[in-house]
Amino acid sequence: MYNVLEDADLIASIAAAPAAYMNAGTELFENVWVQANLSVSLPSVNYAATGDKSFDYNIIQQGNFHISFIQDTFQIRAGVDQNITVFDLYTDNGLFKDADYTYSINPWISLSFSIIDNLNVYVKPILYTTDGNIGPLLASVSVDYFLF
Amino acid sequence: MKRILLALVLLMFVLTGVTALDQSLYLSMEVDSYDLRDIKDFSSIKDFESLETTLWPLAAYTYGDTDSTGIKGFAQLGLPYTVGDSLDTLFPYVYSETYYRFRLPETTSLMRTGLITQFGKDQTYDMTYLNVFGLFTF
Repeated sequence: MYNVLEDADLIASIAAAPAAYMNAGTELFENVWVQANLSVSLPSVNYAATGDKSFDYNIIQQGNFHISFIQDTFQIRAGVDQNITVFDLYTDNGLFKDADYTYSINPWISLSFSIIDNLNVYVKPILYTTDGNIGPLLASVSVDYFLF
Repeated sequence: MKRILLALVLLMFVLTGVTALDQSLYLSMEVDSYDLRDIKDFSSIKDFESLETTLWPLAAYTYGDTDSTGIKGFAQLGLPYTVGDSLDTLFPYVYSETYYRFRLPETTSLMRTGLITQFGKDQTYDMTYLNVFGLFTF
């Protein structure tokens, strides 16, 4: 929902989808792990409850794969997140007549290390791409302190 | 209607906090900067002044045992700032996940039902939003 606090009319949409998930991981060598996660929603039905009250039918597939080196006070991960969305599966013109797709592949690296007890530092650059075009490169640096 | 929705979200936070076990609370300071890449020369990094930088002071709270049945969740409250000539406050951001995991009699697999909520402000369209996701997995 949008315009939750504004005076303008509430913009609402509802989506529903059956989805399948697969998560797999294993330790390749000592301290070296690989993990893959995959999800597919087939189809995702999105109903815009305002405006023209339209339906959208999509297939959304998301996944990520990463390899990790994990020690007690240090972790490094390298991976890739990906997404494929096939949209407009069904329109007034019929099934698959206007269907199109978009995809993204976003590689990243993350480092996290514990400086003292309860204090962790986390660094993660990620490169965004859309439909084969290179997008922004974002870097995050985070310091976490656990109170309990 | 809007007030009822916000009251429900707040009520969910209170109820999950009161009933939770195995709790942890951490404070976090995150800095996000983009776009580090120079569009004309991928190998070069932009000057700091030309980056869009956001500062995220966060408080995050987790509860529940990840390996057993019962209630489990995560809540996060952030108050982001944009960094420029001065610090400009953005709209607060609230995120929560609440799951209940259970096992049916004579089965070994865990089932899970949950609710995910997001509340914040879309800076591009200048609109506050509330997203609620319900899920059931088996």
